[in-house]
Amino acid sequence: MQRIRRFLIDSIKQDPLIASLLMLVVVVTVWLLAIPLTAFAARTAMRRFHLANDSFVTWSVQCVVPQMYQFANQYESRWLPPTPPEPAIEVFDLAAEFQVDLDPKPEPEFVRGPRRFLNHYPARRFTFAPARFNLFHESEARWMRLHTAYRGQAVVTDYHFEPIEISQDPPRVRYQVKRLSSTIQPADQEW
Amino acid sequence: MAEDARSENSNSAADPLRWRVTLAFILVQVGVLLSLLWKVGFFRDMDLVYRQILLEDTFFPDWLRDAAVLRWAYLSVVCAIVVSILIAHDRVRRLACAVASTSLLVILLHQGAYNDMTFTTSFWCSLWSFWFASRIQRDQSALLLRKAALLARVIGSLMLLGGAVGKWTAEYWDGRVLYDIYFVDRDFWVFHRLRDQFDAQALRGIATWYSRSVVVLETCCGLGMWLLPARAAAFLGVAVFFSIAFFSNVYLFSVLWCLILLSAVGWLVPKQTHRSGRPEPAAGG
Repeated sequence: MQRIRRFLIDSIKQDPLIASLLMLVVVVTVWLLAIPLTAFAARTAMRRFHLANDSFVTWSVQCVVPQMYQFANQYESRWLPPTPPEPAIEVFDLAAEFQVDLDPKPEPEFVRGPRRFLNHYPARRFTFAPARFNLFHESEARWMRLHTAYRGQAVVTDYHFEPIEISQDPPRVRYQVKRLSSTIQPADQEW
Repeated sequence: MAEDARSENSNSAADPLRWRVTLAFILVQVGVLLSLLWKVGFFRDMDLVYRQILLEDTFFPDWLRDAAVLRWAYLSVVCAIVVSILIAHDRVRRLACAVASTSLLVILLHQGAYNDMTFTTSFWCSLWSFWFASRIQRDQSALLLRKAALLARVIGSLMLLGGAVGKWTAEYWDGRVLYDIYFVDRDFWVFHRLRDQFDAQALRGIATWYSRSVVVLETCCGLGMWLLPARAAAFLGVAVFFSIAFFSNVYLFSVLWCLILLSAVGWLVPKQTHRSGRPEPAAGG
């Protein structure tokens, strides 16, 4: 350790650039070690994966932090909102009373198979190329819920995507992305 | 410039370790280039999707949602690295490395690429290259190689620590995340063989021990690899980074080529200098 310390001090005196890089490594390491120790760091890091930090600046300063296979990330994409609004009247009770056959209720949870785990950044299920194509190539509205858990707490974020411009020439669809909510809950709570 | 060239010539003639310095630089640049080109077909398709499906998310500034910015940043990095490999001139290399690092930073912040770890590892290796290029004419070769190996293993440790910290949670310790990602249906030779030979219950048990091994390995290497001697760290770094991709996912080579070759820099540290442990005086430092 003594040898390393002397070597580091000599190097830093003669080479301020390597000193800056080593300092950057120290800062990132301290941040990484704070993630399991403090709820604030864990939430900030998990919200990074949902593009749900308070500001772009808070998100962007984390861009140099290595994120390979971090946290337990899941997602679910839907044709309808995750929590559909309650009907003003009890449609199905009335339908039974009047003996009317209603159209089948749309399946509220269109899920491509069971909820699967992702290695990192569940938000890439709508931003990154292959997933973006899968989700939006039919140019229809979509909802998505992201869930990231770490050491007992979880961040749950809801998104809504609405097509606002569709053109054939050139073939293009423009979506508006709305972050509906981003909340903290216990990791074992149903989502 | 003429002075630089003269200085380089005189250094090359007088310094028997000069070839190692050049090789270290080329190794890392080739590593970053391999990383960036490993999925080049995928990136081409990605560009097409981003031109046709646009996401208006105000979280990102306008220019960081623009597909053209991503395309030009990617091409800039590739061109800058090729230039730095082909043109052995000190200032050109410094400039090329600065362009590569800046462009990679833009890619890391872009809506279409922030999630790809390829660019995170390439960015750190590119910072290493920028620093190295700035010292080639200033430090004596032996000292430069020792510093280069130290910075390389510090960066390697940091990358592994990042993965380890995110896995210090029950979902990884009981193996359910990696079981779902790899063991259920991953199209890769290791998992095909395992699925052929074991039933679902046995696979779940194997996944648990696979996951725990990854957590322990990344934790030990993340916390300790930078403390090892240069050559031992080089061997460990190359072995760990290569095995991560070789045993789990061929696409991971895009993330890891640059780290594999960055780790290999440790092998270029001269043995004698390393054993003596005395820093040599820097030339013109």
